[in-house]
Amino acid sequence: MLIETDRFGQVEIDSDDVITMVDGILGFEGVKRYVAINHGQDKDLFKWLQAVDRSDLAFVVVSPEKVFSDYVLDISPEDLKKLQVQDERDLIVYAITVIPHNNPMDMTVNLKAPVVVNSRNKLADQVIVSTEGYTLRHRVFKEIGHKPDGREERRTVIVMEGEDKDVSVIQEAKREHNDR
Amino acid sequence: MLVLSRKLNESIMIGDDIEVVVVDIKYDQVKLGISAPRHIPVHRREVYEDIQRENMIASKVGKALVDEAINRYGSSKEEG
Repeated sequence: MLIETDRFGQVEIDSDDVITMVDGILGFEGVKRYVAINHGQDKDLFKWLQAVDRSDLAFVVVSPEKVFSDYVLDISPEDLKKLQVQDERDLIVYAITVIPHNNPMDMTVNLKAPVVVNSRNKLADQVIVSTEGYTLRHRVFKEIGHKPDGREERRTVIVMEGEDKDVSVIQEAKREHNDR
Repeated sequence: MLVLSRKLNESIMIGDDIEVVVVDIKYDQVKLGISAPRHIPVHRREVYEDIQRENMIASKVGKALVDEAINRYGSSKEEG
């Protein structure tokens, strides 16, 4: 099917790829149908959740596990039920991203309230996770730039998929994490 | 809206399994204890409002900003 979008013009999408929000993205509860569109190349970090029925509405998203090597999704049983999840491995997580005009490097992702999709039935919703320390404005580029208070900052590895070097860094970090 | 008066340590029940207790009253602040089954999410109203606000800001991000972020990230990585 062909959809109209402000950012990408007309886009041909597969109707099987349309995801349906059960309650909706907070503040946009009336908009139920979205489709994930790659930003640029297939393997780019950023995707867009484009509203199918509203050309102007789209959110930049990232997969949090690609940005934060130790990402954990702590979703409530109630939310799992709502999305009719039978196997948690079916879940796709999108963290909504804010990129400020004046400094894109200050971009933040919302780890507290990600959009979670059940890839089996394409039911989705914005859920609130209970993981301690996850915020609505989690900085992506923590390791770059100054350290205002002199404390040691946690190193955050960011990956553009397809760049082998960084992928191996993440794999190492994951391995260390698992060994512990 | 149903309005109830409660004193310190008194509680109200919502349905069979949600209890709200007045734990502390100090000046203009009331501390509430909520005991509910794990499947009932309890969040402060501000959390929802914060998420709404953040979503609103996120919905305004344009395509060019993403390109700029990707470019800047690429160049900062070469420097580092």
